[in-house]
Amino acid sequence: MLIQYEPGTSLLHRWDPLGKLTALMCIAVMAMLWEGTASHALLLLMCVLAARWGASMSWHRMYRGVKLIAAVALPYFILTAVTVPGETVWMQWGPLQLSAESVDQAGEMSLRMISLFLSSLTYIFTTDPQELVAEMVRRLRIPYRFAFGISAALTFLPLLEEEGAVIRSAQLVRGHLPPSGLKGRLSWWGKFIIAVLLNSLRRVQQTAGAMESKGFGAYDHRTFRKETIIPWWSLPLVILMLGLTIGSNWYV
Amino acid sequence: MICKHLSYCYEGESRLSLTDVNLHIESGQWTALIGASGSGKSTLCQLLNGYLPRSGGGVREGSLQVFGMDPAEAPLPEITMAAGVLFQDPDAQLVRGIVDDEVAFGPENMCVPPAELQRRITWALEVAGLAGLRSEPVRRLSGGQRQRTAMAAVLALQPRLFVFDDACASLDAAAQADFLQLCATLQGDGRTVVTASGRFDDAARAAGRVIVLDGGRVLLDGPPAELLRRCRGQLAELGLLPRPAGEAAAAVPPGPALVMVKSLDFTYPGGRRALEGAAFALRRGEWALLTGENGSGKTTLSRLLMGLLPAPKGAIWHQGRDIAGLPVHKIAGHFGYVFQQPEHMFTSQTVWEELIYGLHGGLPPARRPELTEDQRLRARQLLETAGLDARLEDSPYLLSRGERRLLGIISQLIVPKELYIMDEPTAGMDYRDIDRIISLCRDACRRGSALLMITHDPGILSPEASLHLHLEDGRLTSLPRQHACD
Repeated sequence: MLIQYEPGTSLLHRWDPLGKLTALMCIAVMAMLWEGTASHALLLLMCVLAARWGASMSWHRMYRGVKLIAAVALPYFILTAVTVPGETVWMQWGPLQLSAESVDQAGEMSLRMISLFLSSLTYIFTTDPQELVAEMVRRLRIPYRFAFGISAALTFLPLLEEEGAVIRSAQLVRGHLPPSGLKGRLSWWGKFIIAVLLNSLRRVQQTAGAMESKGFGAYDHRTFRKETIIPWWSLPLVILMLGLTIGSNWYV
Repeated sequence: MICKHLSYCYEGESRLSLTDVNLHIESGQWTALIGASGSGKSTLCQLLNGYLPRSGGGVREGSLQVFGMDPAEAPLPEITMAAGVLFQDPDAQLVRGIVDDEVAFGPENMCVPPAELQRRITWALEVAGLAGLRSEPVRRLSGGQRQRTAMAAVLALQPRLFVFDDACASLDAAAQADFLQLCATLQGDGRTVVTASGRFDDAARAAGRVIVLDGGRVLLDGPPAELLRRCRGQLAELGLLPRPAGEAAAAVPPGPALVMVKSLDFTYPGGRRALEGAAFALRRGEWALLTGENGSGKTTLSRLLMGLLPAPKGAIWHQGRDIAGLPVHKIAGHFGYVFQQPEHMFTSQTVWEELIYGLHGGLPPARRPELTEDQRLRARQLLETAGLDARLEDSPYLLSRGERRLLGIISQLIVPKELYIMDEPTAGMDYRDIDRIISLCRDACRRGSALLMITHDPGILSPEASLHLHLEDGRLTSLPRQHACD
């Protein structure tokens, strides 16, 4: 499963969830404020380095993640590159044109998407949802019912991914041929998405009932089994990320 | 537990699932609720902790008191500490993703201090036989291991009343014996225990009292030995006791192997070894049972055969052809597969549409070829044998668990295949439904198809099978039939 927490001992695995969350927010702010393809290529490079050597994420996993978001980013790049007007025109086909400015804008947007996705994937990959909830409740004083909403989303993503894989297998076993052509693919994906949604709705309803059966929401507070260890370097790293974000914003 | 004139109707249904039930269960008793599929036992279990109607909706009438409180209206902390329910479907109650997080979830909600929490988790995992799997993601566990995880999660809550709804359905023989021991221990500690199942099984025999439900009403009530003495015929008629053995397995006609498995090894990404040197052959018309402990590799083997997991080269042969690398839809032209959870296979709005889906492969109504007379006849036969002929227009999701399983089976059998693979089709089924499955499978074998059935019920199915395969820690052995019957 791609989008899920994997236990590990990497640097980012050892970083406490809230410190890491601050860093993730900093990357998101930089991604939104920075301009130009070159600066976004630099940001993406930082994200790749953090994923590979900070989180020990395999190249294969990173490739699968990028492939997923590329399904949106690539069409967006092409559409933007040929439709946004620019002064330095390289090529022109009727109303469509390719210019230096449009390619720069298209590159900026597409790389931004990939950076945001990859940094989020790295966060999910290295963060135990239970620890995140515990930290949000203990340190940020967020009501645990609300904090569990976020955790449930992180827990549900791999479950839905698995559910999707099982349904896909079941459909193949039932004689669904692999889709061919645009119409076939749309029809196949339509059926697949409806089946996953129906099962997900059923699952969400069941889970809500199961949580209540185990006393979820019985009291205003709850205990947590896990105690998060905050490494000594967490705060300096957070300050560094904040400084980088503010400084780069000023520079940009 | 006291219920007076208790009735319940599920949301969107007009038929009552429980009708005028009157019961009184003393604290500290072990009571077994038994009944055929759709008899109302699961509904009663879910009423006991207020899941119904509080979360599941529907309308309850009459009164129900558990330790002096109404579960539907009692404050959540009180009812959670009073009654813990293990539901039929383990996947429906696993909410956290990692085994020990699942077990910790309930006590954490009940504000149990961390030191006590750790003690309870260790104890519950030990009792459920999961001590070595506490850090495993739930999705990597087998069906039986998920069942044990859900059980450990209820145990860790330590309520005064334990309700186990079909807890043994996916458990191997050793775990079933452990479960009986656990129930006895809990009762010995002064807890009240209610077990529910579709058969007059060992749990019912070990309980102090058995309540038989039929059509949502209490039909019989008394000590197990007395019921077995007085009402054996009636219990067999209801499908709660096995009928006398019928015809023996037909001899398999000699012929070449349809499927040949040679030195099959399989290791999951991450290094977990699931199979080691598995080898066997299946001929046309042969019925093979595949047994083994929870997590021994049964489902892995079946998924490799179906192409749902990548088979290594030269390990699985179908009529002399290596199936490694063949896409699932091509293998599905020859092999049928029934999943452990039939809901995963459902694609249609009605039972009839679901049944004939395999005949048109999902084409829209306008483009479907007309069903031939033979196909209609076959569909009617299958529906009749499965006892679903009166449910044609119902949604597959509204069927009882046994009916859903039967629909999943006949939806595969309607398309002629050379081999049908079934993953635990009899789990939690009453004997009447098992008889139906046996009848359907016998017919498939008579038509020349081979059958590979994963099961924890070898005692019931061995007389039917001509081959018994057993997996132990990923190693496959072939058992002689007599041993299998034992």
